[in-house]
Amino acid sequence: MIYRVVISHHQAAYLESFRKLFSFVAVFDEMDTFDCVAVRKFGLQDIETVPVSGNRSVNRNAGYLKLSSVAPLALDDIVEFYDGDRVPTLYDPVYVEQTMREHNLGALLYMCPNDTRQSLTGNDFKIVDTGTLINPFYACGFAMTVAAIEHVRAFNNGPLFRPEFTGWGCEDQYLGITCAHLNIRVGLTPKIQLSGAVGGDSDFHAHYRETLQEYINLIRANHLAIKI
Amino acid sequence: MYNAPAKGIRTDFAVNDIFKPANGNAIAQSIPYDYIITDEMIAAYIASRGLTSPFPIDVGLLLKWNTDTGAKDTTGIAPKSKISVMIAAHTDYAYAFVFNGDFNLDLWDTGVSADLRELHIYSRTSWTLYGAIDCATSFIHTSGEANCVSFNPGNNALSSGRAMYVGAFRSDSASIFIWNTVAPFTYERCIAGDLPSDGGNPDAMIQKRSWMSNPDLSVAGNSRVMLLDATGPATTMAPKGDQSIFLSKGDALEDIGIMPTGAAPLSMDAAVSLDWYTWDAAKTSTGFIENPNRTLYIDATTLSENVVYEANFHLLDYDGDRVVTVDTSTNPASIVPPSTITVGGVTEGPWQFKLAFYDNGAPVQVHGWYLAGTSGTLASDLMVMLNWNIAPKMPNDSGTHPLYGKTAREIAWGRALFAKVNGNIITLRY
Repeated sequence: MIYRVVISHHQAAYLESFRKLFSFVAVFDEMDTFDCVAVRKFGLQDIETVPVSGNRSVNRNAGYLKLSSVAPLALDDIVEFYDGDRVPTLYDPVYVEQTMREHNLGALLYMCPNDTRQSLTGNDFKIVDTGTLINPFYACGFAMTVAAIEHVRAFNNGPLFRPEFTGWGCEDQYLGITCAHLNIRVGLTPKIQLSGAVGGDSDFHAHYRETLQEYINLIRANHLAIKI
Repeated sequence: MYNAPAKGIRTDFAVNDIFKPANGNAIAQSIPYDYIITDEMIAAYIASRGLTSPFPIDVGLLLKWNTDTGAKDTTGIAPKSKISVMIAAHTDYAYAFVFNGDFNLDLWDTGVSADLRELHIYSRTSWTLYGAIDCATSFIHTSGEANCVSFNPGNNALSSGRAMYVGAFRSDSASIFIWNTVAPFTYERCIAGDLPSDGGNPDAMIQKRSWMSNPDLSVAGNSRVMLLDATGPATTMAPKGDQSIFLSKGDALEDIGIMPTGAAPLSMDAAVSLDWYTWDAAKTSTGFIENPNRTLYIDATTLSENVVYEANFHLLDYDGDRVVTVDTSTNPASIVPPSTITVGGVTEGPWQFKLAFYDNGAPVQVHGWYLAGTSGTLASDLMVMLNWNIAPKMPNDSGTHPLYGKTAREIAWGRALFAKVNGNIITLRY
């Protein structure tokens, strides 16, 4: 079974597109609204919403907790996380489940057109190394088994994404290094496509140096290994 | 108590060493200040003279004041060609320090090489200094906030009775400022410059204190240096020899020497970020001199492990009226890629910018970037081409441009983030 968590930061306009694809738990940042007091039924699909004001890490964590409170999650179930503007343009849930089980993946990362990680995959799925300081774990769209999520949560004493990352960036890279540290296999696939571009956004975020410093500080504090 | 002996740690004090961090760290301590003004000195000065209302502090008088006799010593302040003063006082009040009279500014005479030619006033981090000087042309320079105010009147003499004032105040206090009827000259442009050699026009080099504190580039933005001549913003920029200018984290202006010969690579001991200015193209009609340096040399041994460093690259141009930061969308012709460069027997390029990390005189890593931000791995082990962050860029202009008011850092032409991890220098970005 695949479940979804979508976080949104002023991206409510995209959520209708998500709703048409699948049921999900949506988490809203600040002033976003999406019928947040309503539980909507659309055929057999339920949409739960969690009005939360926080950062990306906090919102994803809240979405997962909400999901786990309303759905009977099994360890081999899969949870997908999407950023609010990363609507899948090429999607196959059967492929996701089969690929993750066939390759014993804990996480499967999705890609965008003009993805800066294209050199890693070519046209096919690849196992990737997320143990380097700058690694390919981008959280704009990815899947993770409940077992892997709970493994990371236990290592972090609770959160999947570290809430120390309050600014833009690095919270997903840190998850990547954590997965490598815990021997969680991570795959990258061009077969699932997301809308929008990925990579290079750090140009326009004024506090990125501070975020990177927080990233390195956490790595050292939690004794994560970094592959050079 | 009237003056403190020079620290005397360094003896190779040169004009290009005049700007150092004013926060009392090890580098600052190496400056052989001629005089240090402390809280105790100011308190004694005030008490001895029975002062109760706002007043300017006569530095010469303060330094010569003898609390035992209740009068100033007869020994004058010895004239020197260069004097450095540290204002080390911490108070909640604002002061104006007057340098005249007993401080022998009258010695500042034309053509007399032994006379006072350079006066540098430093403050500790809790102070902000404003400076102004009245020279023979009756032109008043007023500066923005600075931790170091420096004046070099060159061959322009101070007339008798003229004085230089430096206002010092905490950053949240109003300034007692200066005296003259001539309207203060307002600096509006961000210019990287250099002190001319002895004999030039009066110049004031103002160093802004903190690198992200002021959003208005046109008034007091990022760390920067401004060059003036007697009539206004200079239209002349020149490298110092063939060195480039960089500014560390609001603290010090230093020259980066040429490599592999010449001065040492940049030390990152006191900074985690820097802004590096370079400029391009020969504009002989305005005396704008090309600075072809595109390689920033950093001493790798001064990088701390697990610290994220940031280098902001600013490409400057001259738009016919003032020096501006380059907006490549409007001034593409002014960007002249450097010629190919050979390192370790491998010829590469053209590079737009390079970061070269040196360890004991030998390059350990060189990272280069093309303008288009392409990347790849080269045959040479030393050179790695990487994407770097292309920061928003704009002409240094006022008005309605959406990026007006940003700090210089935010409109850097490019930005490199790097860290030393397990001895390896890694550049960082998504």
